[in-house]
Amino acid sequence: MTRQVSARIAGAFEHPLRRIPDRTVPQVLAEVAYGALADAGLGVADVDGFFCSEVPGLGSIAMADHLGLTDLSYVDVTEGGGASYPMHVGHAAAAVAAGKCRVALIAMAGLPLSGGGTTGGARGPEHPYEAGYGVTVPAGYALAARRHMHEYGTTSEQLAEIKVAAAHHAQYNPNALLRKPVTIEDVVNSPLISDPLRRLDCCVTTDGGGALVIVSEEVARTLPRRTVKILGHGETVKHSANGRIDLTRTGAAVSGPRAFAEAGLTPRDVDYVSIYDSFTITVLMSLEDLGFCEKGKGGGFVTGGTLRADGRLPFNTDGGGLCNNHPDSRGGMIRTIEAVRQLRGEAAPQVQVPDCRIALVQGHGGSLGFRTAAATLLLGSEEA
Amino acid sequence: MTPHDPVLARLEEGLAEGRLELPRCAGCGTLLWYPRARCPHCMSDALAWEALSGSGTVHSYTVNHRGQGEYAGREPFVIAYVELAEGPRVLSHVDAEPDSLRVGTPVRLGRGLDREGRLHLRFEHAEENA
Repeated sequence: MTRQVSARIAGAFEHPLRRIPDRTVPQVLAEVAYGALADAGLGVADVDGFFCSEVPGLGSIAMADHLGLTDLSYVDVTEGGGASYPMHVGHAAAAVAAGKCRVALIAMAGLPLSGGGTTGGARGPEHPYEAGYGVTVPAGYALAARRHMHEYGTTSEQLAEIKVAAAHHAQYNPNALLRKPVTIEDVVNSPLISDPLRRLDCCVTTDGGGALVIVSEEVARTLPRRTVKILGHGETVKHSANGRIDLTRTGAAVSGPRAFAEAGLTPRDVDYVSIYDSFTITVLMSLEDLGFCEKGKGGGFVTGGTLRADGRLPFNTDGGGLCNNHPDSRGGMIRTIEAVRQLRGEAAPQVQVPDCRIALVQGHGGSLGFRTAAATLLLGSEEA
Repeated sequence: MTPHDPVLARLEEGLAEGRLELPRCAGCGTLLWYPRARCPHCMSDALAWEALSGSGTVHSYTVNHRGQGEYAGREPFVIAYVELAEGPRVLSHVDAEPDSLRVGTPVRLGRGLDREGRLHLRFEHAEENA
């Protein structure tokens, strides 16, 4: 089938380690950047586009120097928290389609476990109004989860289904941080972190990083590896709306329809989904907002193994942020990389979706309890 | 050093005298939360501060069992969005037994400032005997 393809993902690399005490962030960034370029069959001299956010140094400048990017014609330091990397994929595809660059490198790394996390930005103007209340990251998402439970009757057992599916997949990923399968009982009996969210509703914290290489159609034809078509992209910022925050919807309600429209696809066409899973509630609300089920019916939708590799809508087959990897507390890169694996037929054999042609990536950054960036990608295999 | 923020200072001045006041846009009538110097709806700078009732309901809440920083060791404590009677949903603490709270529980503003005089909204049950 002939589709409009703006650019392709030609290389992807996820750092294999989850705790890295003996390297700096720039060193890890170079490992993943060069790993993705080697995966694509390209070298550092081929790169003319560079996309990053919150890396050491001012903007992209120090890392371009460190990585040896000597012929850049396009740079983009879009900051969307964990959603940054699917945003970068969309921006890189647009830049390639516009002829601004031909080989774009997207790279991220961070070492939160080993004291080398990237720095937070300047405080936002909301700081005096929100900072004094002891709001942790889980607390922000708990505010969203509680409201969703109130409006739609969502239960902790339904949220647990999401973790159970992720853990089922992680057992087949030798690099995953948590490889042990869990039951619904394990999840709902784990300690309360910020009620109603429990420990097993929360993603892991890991050192590491990942990188992607986006290329033009012309460059793709010269490369030896299977490539992935970028078919659609949408993004947005959703915020507290002058005091009328909607806690039960994510930015995917806006970014998703835009990406589907650009790709000419619907949720029924999707074979695999990589959904940002900072917390179980993030997945549930995203699935609703993307149109995989009716709004408010996510709890019933995920029940009964829907999200397992052998289920109706396989998700996060690497184990996701819940079990595999969430480096620098920014999950969008690793979510995108697993979608690339699925579309290349290179996921773990036990979780590879047969004849996987269309994948969706949903990224979120910030907090669903306050303000977020969201980005949706629709990607296709070479057969799509 | 943080630059002086006259809008935040105005909110805190009202609270110091026991009044919860927020700016309302004279141009389009929008009530602002958080307070700003310009209306984010119509861009006007014609804002008039008005006193609110201090009444509201719990829009959503969480009981935090893992406090960090200054809140380590103070668990469990309740963080809530309180929907004020006039509309805005404001982040706050609710001084109440966690089990006594539901989404929709009526609350009223207790204190608005901490001991240093900085903004810190604390709500309590609206009914004395709840």
